[in-house]
Amino acid sequence: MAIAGKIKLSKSEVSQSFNLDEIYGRKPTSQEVQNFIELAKERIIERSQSGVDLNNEKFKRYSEDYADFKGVSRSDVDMTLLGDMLLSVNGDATRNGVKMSIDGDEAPKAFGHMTGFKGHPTIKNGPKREFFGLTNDEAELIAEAVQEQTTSFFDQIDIASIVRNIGLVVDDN
Amino acid sequence: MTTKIKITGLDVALKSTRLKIGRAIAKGNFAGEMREQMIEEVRRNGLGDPLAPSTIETRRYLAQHNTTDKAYSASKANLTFTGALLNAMTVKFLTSRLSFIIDASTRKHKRYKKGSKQTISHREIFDALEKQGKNRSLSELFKRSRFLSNLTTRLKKTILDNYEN
Repeated sequence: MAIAGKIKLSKSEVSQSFNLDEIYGRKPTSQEVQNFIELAKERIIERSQSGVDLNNEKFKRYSEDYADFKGVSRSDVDMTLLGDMLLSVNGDATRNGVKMSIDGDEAPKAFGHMTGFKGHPTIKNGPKREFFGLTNDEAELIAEAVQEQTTSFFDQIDIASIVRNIGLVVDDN
Repeated sequence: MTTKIKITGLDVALKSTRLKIGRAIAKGNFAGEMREQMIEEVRRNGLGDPLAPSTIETRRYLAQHNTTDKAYSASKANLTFTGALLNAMTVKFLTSRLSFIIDASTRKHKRYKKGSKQTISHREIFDALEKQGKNRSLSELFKRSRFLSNLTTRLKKTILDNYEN
């Protein structure tokens, strides 16, 4: 049985539950829950910033206007303008595992990206970019990594992608 | 003269990852490398507006009585005469804040032979240069795309070489 539940999508809630009982055969410890949340969060951020969606496909390209506004090429899609939406990925313990979600204020924005801006008053047929959530394979890998108390696999993925985006600026504050 | 340089693009990294990145930067002594690169950039490509004719004349006169740095040229605005001023520049890295602090020694600058009898500290000289309004602040270096790109590449390499899970 899959441990990754279906992604819930509404303007007020973007979430996905994971049944860790199913893989561990017992209730997860609070430390395991916490580690799962951390790694799931890192995985979603890392994958999104590398330009790939939940289905391991490249995100749809930006429009010419938006790419100009952001100052990047049309194919450089990383779901990050200020970073607020990806930073709002979070998780909570549930009865049998973890529920990952987008924190309140950013949920409508995430809903828009996940659904191609369904119901949006001005954007019609917007691009669908499914950045949030984990596949069952990803969730199982994370659950196993948590149980083995090793995070090196995910750390290695993260550091290369994070370092790629860094820069240096004068801090005027 | 304190100038603060911060690392951008780490907003989405988790706190634990940022801390490890900070440790990698400290371990690789990137602050020392940044200092060297800044000095080389100023000496090679200059900093700020061209020197006034009177300044060039004074530099030529003083050069007859003092040992000058190999990067010295009378007419070049590269903050270099004996080399002591740029050598007094310091770059300190704050691991937890992922920021670099550029400052200078408070030691007095050595008097030039046949020069003014007044002595002030290296830091005061940098402050005075900033106040001149001739773009001689060291922060100007960080507006140069080639310098910045080169420095960022070195920073990335330092992190990847020294990052420990």
